[in-house]
Amino acid sequence: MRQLRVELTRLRSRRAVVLLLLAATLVTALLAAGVIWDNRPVTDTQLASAQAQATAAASEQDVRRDLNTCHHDPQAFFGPGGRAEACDQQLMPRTEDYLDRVPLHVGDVRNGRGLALMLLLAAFALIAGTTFAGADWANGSMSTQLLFVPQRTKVWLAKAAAITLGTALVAAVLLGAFWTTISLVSFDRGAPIGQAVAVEVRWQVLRAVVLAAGAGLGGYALTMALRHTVAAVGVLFAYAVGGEALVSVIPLHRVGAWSLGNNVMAWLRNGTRVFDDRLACAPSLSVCDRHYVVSVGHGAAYLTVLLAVTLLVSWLTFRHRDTPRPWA
Amino acid sequence: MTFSGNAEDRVDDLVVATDGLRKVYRHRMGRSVVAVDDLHLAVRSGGVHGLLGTNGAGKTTVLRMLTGLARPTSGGIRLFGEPVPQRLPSVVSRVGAVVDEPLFVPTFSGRKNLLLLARSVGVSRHHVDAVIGQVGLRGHERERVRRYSAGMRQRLALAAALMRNPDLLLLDEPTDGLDPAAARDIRNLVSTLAEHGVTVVLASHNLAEVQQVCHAVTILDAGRTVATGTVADLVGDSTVRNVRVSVANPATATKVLEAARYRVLRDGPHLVVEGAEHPEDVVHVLADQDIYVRELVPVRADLEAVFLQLTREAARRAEGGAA
Repeated sequence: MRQLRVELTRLRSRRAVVLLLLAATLVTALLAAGVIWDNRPVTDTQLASAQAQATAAASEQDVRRDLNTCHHDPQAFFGPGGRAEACDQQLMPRTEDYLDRVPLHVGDVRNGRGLALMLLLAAFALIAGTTFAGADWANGSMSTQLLFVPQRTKVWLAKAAAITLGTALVAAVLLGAFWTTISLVSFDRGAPIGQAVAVEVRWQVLRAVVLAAGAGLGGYALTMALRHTVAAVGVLFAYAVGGEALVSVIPLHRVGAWSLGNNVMAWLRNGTRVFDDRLACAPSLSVCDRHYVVSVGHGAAYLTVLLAVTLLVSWLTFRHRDTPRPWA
Repeated sequence: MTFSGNAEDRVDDLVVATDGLRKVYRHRMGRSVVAVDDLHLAVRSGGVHGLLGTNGAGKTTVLRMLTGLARPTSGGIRLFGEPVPQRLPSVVSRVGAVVDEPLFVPTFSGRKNLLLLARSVGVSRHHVDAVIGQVGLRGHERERVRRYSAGMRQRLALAAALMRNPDLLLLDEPTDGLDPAAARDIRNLVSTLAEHGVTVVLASHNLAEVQQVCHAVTILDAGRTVATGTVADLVGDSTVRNVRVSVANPATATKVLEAARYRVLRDGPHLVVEGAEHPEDVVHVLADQDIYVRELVPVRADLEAVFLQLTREAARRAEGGAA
């Protein structure tokens, strides 16, 4: 515990980590402000204008003709099984079509800016992890630390625990602040979050906190193995970008299930649908769905194995390699 | 692990003992460098033990292995009788070390760096402030380390090494790059610590410093032990027999002496003739060529002369072995 407290102090004293924390806070605030501003209630004047435009559009000849055609042959518009009731819903101009914004809807935020915030926080955590470990190697203070505490596993674990706790705490606080703000604003605008959505949001936040902590830990572990922040970032970039490129050219079905991006999305979104144009469709189907699902379990397993391998390599490397000589 | 040092040195009585210690650095291109080779080191309790050698002789590598920063390729190390690195954690509280360049977090103050290290080993703030005073950093402890001079960094490293009141202090070129006054302060501190019972192992290429501060010395060359013993014994046992000669024409005298297979060095207006077992022979050789000696003074062997002689002999043996 003593070593952990020391490492937590070291973590929060790093200027780069403080700057990342400030940047993450700023991004969270900007995204929340963006959601609140972009979904602000319309004024009575704007609403009246939109209603008038919708009414005018509904009486246009082209619209009337399309509606008639649709009522006579809905399947021509909506494919097999299309029904006439859908014609009015889909083709009739609506007031909201003429408004430049829509009311705040938590479900949309969850899959839009909420998701973006989660990904950004994971990226910040990753960089914090690499810079936390990289600084000790870059300024050589790792040797000085090991002169005091030669138990390398103890040092490695304390640093790992510090970055994991630190990034998890920051992600939890910022995501908590973001969703509390969105919930309060939504409530204030007369559209409180339903119980089911609230539960989904909580689970997603929990998964995002785990992802941020894992990203911080992974960045730390990789940098401890490579002993250089830039090298670690380079390897991460090569894996993420190169991996996606590789997945896109391998001529196998469902190969996207091995892409880092898809697995991260699967973890955050409780499963994700992935398009694959190599998927075969039955000839009888007039509408072919070439999507497949990467489950949250698959995403969790993929990310866990990736992290576990990185941790193992990092620990073994740190435990057995000489510390570098300053002149080497 | 067995130790085959001096029979009178029981391993358990030694503060530092190495047996057949070897370190090979392997580089990426497949090249390997033997930094330390078959080193037998025995440091008894108390006093200052010098590790003397040129740059690249292996001094720092030895200290890095003693402190667990580098792992031996083969051979054994014991500190206070405990095998290292296996049991290093059990004795590390008795060891203070300044190895390599003193490296700290540059954006933290000197005191904050020390406090972080102190907290990790349970040393109090009060004691940290005491060692800051002991090494002469008072007044600068709240400045960022990046603003420190080389001397202040060295003092900070020394403060870190002294924080746990060590029984053994390992110092790597502690006065390297310091101004004369700062170097003198460090040497005085080392001597004072030794007087108070701390065993100091001081690695240096500074011959005068080693002769001035150390009680015993091990001379390293190309990773091997060339000689070991007390400074007095090494200088006293030396076969160095030099004479300083003053003549009217040093250039001609040099040619004559070199023709007679003496090694001759210029020392201002004088000549220093090395390996002159019988000074009268030098006088005869010169007189045969009508060169008359004005003055002939035997030169007392010092550590520098001993060091140069021993390392030259070691190099010759290595060349002979290679041939």
